[in-house]
Amino acid sequence: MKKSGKNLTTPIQNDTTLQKMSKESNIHITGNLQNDLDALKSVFGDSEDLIVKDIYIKNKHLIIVYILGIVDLLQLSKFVVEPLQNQNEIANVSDVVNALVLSESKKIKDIKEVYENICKGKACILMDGEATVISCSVDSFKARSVAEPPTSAVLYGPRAGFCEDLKINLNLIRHILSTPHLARKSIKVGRITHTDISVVYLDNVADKKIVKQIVQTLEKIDIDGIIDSHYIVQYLAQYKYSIFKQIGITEKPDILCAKMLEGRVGILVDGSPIALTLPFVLIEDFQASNDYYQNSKRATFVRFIRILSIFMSIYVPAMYVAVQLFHYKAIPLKFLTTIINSTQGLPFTPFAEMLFILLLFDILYEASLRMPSYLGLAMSIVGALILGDMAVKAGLVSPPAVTVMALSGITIYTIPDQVSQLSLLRLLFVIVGGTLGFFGITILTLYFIIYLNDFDSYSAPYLSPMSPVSFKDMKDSVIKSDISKMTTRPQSISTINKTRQKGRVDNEKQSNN
Amino acid sequence: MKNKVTIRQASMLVFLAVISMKFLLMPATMSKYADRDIYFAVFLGLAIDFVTLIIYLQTAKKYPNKTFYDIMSDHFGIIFTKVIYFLLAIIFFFKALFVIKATHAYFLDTLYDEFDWWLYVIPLIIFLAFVLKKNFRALGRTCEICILIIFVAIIICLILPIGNIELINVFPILNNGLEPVFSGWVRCSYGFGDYLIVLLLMGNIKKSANLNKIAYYAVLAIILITTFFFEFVALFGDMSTNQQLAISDISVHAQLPNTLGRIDWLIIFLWSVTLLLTCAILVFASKKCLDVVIGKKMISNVIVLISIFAMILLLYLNLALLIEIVTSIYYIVFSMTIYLGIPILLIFCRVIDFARKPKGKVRYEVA
Repeated sequence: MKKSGKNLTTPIQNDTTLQKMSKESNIHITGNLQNDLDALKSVFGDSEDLIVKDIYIKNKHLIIVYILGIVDLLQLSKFVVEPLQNQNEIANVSDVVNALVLSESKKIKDIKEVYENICKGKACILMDGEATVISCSVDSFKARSVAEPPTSAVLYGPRAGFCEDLKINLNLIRHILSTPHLARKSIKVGRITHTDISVVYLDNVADKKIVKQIVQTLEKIDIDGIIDSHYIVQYLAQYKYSIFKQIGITEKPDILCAKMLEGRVGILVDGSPIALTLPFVLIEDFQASNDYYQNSKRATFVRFIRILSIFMSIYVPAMYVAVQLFHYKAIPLKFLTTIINSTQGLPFTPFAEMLFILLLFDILYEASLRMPSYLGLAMSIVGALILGDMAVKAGLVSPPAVTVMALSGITIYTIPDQVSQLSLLRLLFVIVGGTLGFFGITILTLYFIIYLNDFDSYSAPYLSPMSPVSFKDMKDSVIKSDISKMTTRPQSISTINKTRQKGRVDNEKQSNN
Repeated sequence: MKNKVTIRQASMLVFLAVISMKFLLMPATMSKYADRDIYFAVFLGLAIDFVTLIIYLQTAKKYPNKTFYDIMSDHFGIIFTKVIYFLLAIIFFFKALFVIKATHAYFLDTLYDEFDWWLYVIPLIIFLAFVLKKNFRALGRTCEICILIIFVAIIICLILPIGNIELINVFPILNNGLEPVFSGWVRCSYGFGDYLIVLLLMGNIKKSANLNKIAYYAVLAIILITTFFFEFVALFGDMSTNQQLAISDISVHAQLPNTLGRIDWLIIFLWSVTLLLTCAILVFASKKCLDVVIGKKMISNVIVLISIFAMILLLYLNLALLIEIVTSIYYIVFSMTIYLGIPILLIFCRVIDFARKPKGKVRYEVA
């Protein structure tokens, strides 16, 4: 066994080496072992953990190259070395591939590809006189277990969540969608990270044009690295300067598969537990996976509550400010007296007061996100009791304003995936409510409605099925019908097959018969 | 595709354009001329408008993929068509101006003690500039999403004051004959002719075979508006001329328990949306017409915005002056010429086509 280099360095390359490798990306395997090995070593530089092992089988010289630590030596020995040594004769590459029955192997002809494979924990076999390298999958990468994602906990229904390993994530999908129509396109993105991205869809449902559009967009990405799926979100977004969410995200395979069954396309990124879905329409975020695992009437009620909550979270603070500053006549007398009593002697105007509380709330939110979990209790004491209660007692803010903000702060979390957009909207509405009053709120509402109505996500109208109205799609919007009544796929999403069920399954009729 | 609207969206656009102007300033202005017979006058105007709508729809069916510009330029040449479009732009512009002023008056009456003119105009101009960059599809979809709540608002407005209605105010019917009815229609012609928007939608409606749906919505609008005018007279009688903001004054008349506070708050919100949306539609229509005349979208956007700004400056807070302009004989002649002239021109197009049609030899075959 030979060890290359003197210094202990990892195969993570510096920029110069990468540039060099990039230039050598067209170098092919020659079949001359020494030359190929030198080329490979030059790419890896001084990596002490690069292992080069010689094997001779009936005078045929083979070299196995891998990186120590990311390869499972037991697997390497059992599934690669032993089968090779048991062979009587090895004449060409095909013999090697045939010998490696239990190991996933692949033929490679390019130095750059060999480098990428070795970095990803594969062992590469170079063979004397053969211009092809065989890559064997023997990686010892330990993925996080398939656990319930913290952002999408459910009361009922599947609890499996995606992890950082693309292979496991794909298997989770295959486990649910075990059909030959499950199609996958793989793309590598990132000059340094060479991140695997998989576009998954059902080829008998999803619109091929949308798949093509997504794949083309991904192929055009020229970036040094993709660390998480959120990196590609910004490339896939069709309206670059919009504050609105344009791509669906999920951490759960059951949600992704449900969306794929509706004709959407899923995107999985190696190293990220977040799957992306396209096309995305606004109503998707109002649909929780729980809705499909409980009584449809209850689900309808909960969805109505969510929509109401969102309106409250945006409009209540703005209306509170507008009403105090411009339209106090609109407040019932008793309530007006309460407000006047509690706001007397405050140093701020209602507008400044609301902005102050809004700012305070966002600071608390940011701090609680980043603070270590053991400080959580201290945080809530400081935030809720000291800052909130003391600010009221000190006469900095009024109790109604704190109540309004607390109400808005709670209601906004009924749709956790929309929090970032909604908090921005809330701020905007407070500003226009404080400067222009009700007129400002109305005009901003109209502005956003018109804006969103001109907003298509990969041919799907963003506000569908409310606008353009699609009565068929209403069955799974504000209203949640029984699954048996959802006979078609969403009309707003371009699909090649709209039928989900051939007819309504009428249990009552069946039982009568 | 972004200029293409569905039948439903086209219907909503038309419905909204028709109803909004009739519910605010028009009843009081019309009362000056038609006295207690304003509901006859408005019905007459709406009926004539409906006939023009039918002509537009028939023309759109006859030439399914042609825009109004295509039809007119094919028959009368490009220059004449551009003149027509320019006149249409003026009509839409004045209508928009009227709605802008009425909206300000409405806000001042219902919500604000003081409402600085500039605080109103500047955000509105910014909003309109944004709308001008959009398309009929976005506006149509917006109407689609708002129409249900607007419809509910109208129904509430019609139901709330029913308890205060005094039918004695309506009688005697046609006391002075038909002359006040015609006078009311003619003098308030600025409030009619809203179906001209259909001309701009011609050739841009998906599945144009179902165009009759627009007519159904028009019938619904006629019923709602006529009922509202009837209720208005029944509520206010001879005092109708003083009720400058009809819908606002009607909701004040509603007898509601004190514990509910201002329930008309909801109606105010919905009417604000209706008025601002109508304003957006009219300004956009005006801009579309100028697009055709000038040929450059950017320039027409700027012209429309500057014109609105200039007119607002000229009319600074003076609603009476605006009403004086739009009820003047010059404007009446101008608007009537457009409302009634365009349908006649479209009929003429059909006649020309009929005359141009090559007459083939008729063969009689013996069975």
